[in-house]
Amino acid sequence: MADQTQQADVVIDRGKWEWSELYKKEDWWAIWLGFAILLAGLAIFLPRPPADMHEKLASAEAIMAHEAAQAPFNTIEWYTANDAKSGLRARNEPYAKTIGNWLQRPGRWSTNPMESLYLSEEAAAERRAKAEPAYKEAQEATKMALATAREAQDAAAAAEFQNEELNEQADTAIREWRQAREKERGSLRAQATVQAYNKIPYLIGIGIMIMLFFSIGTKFMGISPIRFMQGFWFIFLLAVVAEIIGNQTTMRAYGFGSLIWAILGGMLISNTIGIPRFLMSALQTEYFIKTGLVLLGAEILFGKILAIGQAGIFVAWVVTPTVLILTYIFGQRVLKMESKTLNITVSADMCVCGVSAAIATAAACRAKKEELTIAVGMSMLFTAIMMIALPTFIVAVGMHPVLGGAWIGGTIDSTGAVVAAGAFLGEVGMFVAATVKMIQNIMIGMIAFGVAVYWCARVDCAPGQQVSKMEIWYRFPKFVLGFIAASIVFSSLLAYMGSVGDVMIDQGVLRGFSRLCRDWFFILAFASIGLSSNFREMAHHFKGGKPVILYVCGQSLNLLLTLVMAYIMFFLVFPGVTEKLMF
Amino acid sequence: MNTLTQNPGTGIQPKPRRLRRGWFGLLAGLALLWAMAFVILPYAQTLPYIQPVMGAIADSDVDAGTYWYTQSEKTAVGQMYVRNTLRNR
Repeated sequence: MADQTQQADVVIDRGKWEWSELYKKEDWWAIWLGFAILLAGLAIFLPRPPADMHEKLASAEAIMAHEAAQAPFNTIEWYTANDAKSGLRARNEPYAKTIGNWLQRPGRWSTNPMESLYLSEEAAAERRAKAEPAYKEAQEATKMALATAREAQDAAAAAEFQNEELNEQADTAIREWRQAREKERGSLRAQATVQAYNKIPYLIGIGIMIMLFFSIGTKFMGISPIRFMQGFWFIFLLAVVAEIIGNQTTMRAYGFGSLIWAILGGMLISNTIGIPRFLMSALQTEYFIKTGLVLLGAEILFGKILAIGQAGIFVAWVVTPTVLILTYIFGQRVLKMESKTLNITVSADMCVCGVSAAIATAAACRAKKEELTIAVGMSMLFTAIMMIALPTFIVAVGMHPVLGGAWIGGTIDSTGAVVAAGAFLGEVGMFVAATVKMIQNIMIGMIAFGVAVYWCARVDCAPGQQVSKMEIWYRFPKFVLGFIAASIVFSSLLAYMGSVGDVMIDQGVLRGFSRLCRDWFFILAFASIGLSSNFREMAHHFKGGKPVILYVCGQSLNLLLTLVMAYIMFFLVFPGVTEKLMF
Repeated sequence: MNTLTQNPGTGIQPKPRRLRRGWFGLLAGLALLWAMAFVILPYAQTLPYIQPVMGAIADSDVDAGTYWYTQSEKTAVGQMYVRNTLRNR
């Protein structure tokens, strides 16, 4: 019996290519729909840059170069120019804000969930009034810190930046001003400037748009568009509820985001009261997830891997694949995990970048929904623990913020938790952590491609079977092609456009449009996963606690190797990078 | 449907007798969720080792639940700072 089951899982060497796949298979529909969104984004944003963009960029760059040439530390003018440059974003233009309103998800709340969808003018005014005294105090503190910084900088300038003590004092005062500014611009400003909103009409609008968008392909894939539309609303509603729960202040702070609530909510419903049959046609997990992954591909911008120089590449791109491979081997040889797909999904999720890596890897190796759920659930739980434990330990032992930031960036799974943990180390620590994490994020393109090829060529085969190149092509999950193509196209565009690319592509097409669509597609996919998963299947995969052992052992190795590599790179091989970042 | 294999055993409404037990399970799950959001996790935030980190997260207005770098404002600001610092010095 076991042999028969195993045989059923093995792909026999008889694949063939049919041109009709281009419009019958969801992999190809994911590519067409994903690229339709990306092309629409380019058509909307590229002709509408912010006013005087080139002049503003050139001015900011000239100021930074001038200031860097005359002072050995980042001056007030340097920071102001840097802020001006990073504040230049196509998505801040009025047309982009309108798009953002239509694609927005429910907002944050603390005690009343309705505030996630609707905030009256009176309630907004009350919140503003309540936050105003603390905000004004913070503004005053920033102003005073700036005056002190200015005084210290002028003293250093009077000595032509030759007096090391004065330079040190100026640098410290400027950093204190930055800290005060950071505090002023955090939650205080958000509360003091809150405006009334009503997100309900926009949510109904985006629900209709996404439903029509995905129903285009259903007809060709043999799914009734009418049935798809009937069931879609339930999934969309579950996704909105999950978003509301994930945006509760406490949940946000712990990093328990909406995706896990979509899964848990769906599982809770399907495993207790059950779901009606009309919903089945709308549970198109793969259709949603693959379209989202093609959009995610566009955000894999290879130019960003050099953001922190070679040191970052070693920390993120050498340790990560090493830990991935060793953890996978450990799972197979030592733990003897039954499911290879669960093994690789948990390994990738643990050492690359959590949820996003789990989604991409699970889709590339054809993992079961329950396996993806286990990987995502464990990632969120351990991320919450590490987000608190790691920065507490780093500060307690007095670790250097660059080393601590790199360690956090290379080991904590999700970006939000990395930034949150990094915030505890101060501005430089947070920036290093966020940058290392971003470099690591870029890696999932390679990992997903590698896993897809390895599974086609080695795993999905009968023992001893030699797979031809054409057979690999037949078996290959085609949406990965769209994922890689989107990455190559957008990486090339960004490289070609230089600083303008940051404004128009990264801070325009991607963060202002395609990412917002992708967020919706993933939450719909996770709601579908929850609604079609069952507890028994999950319990079966948890037998012996092997996934937890795998995660804990892999993460321990990851923590050790990342710390050693970060120390070697930032303090022995490239100490100049650390010095520049700290002064 | 070749990836993330569908599980055909789910999605069917249970019989009425089991439905009552199902509703009880659903309500129990929702109660657990409510307790987590409003009792357990907020209490944990006040514990000595957790409070300082949670305070830093609240002050800097970070959404710890974001799972990809483009969802976080700080990655863009951080990357710009790091790149400009290394480029100009």
